[in-house]
Amino acid sequence: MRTHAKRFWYRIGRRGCVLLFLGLLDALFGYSFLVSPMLSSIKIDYLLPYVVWGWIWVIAGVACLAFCPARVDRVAFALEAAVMSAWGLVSGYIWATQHAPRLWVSAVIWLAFAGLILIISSWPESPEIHVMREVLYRKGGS
Amino acid sequence: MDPATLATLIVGALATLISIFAYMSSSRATKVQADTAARAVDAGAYERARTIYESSLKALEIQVARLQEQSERMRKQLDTAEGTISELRSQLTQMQQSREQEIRDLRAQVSQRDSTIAELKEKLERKAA
Repeated sequence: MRTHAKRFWYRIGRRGCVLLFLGLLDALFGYSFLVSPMLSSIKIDYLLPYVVWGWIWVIAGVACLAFCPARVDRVAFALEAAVMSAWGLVSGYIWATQHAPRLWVSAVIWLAFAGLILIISSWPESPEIHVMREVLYRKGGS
Repeated sequence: MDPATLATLIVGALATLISIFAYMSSSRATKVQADTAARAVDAGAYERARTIYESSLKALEIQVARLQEQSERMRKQLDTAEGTISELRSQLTQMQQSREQEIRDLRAQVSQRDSTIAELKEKLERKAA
């Protein structure tokens, strides 16, 4: 059990763990867009249809989950930064133009998330995990 | 242009810009991690080479010790052989000396006999005369 956990850890690494977390967050957030109706009675312009945003989040989440064990994960980080910054900017746009006084908090949170992703994307994986991952890939083991 | 469309374009452009930035920093991180891993692998190779060198050095030291032991044993054997040879040589010298003495004695006996024979011959000739 411990060996499997260690192997899983070496397979995904620290960056993969972040992508796993973001993937779950995005997928669930997008899912909430698709299944739940808008809570607000005021008509809000999200620049794109509400369902489209839901699918964007779900796709970003699936991409993160798919890329978390990959050796090259730059596409997932780029996609994640794009989606989170876009959602933060949209929240800011709604706060500024559509009389939603509390939405600046959402904008700050999502833009901070985007910034965090920019920072994490620039962090290299630890050499130990990188080497072990290469060994696992060459062995072709699970 | 419709303000919503303009906002969409601005949001799209900014998100793309941030995405490109994330892509580039992620690429840089991948390169750095590959370089670091290569250095770690190099360090591993150095460690392995050092281990091999040290083990071969130890094997050589053991071999040298064994050779020294062999050489010591051979020196002892050589010393014993030299002792035996000198003993044999002294025995041979003694034997030669005793043979020479025997020869000298025999020669003396022969010369004594010769003189005895000559005396007897002389006595015989005198009696005959």
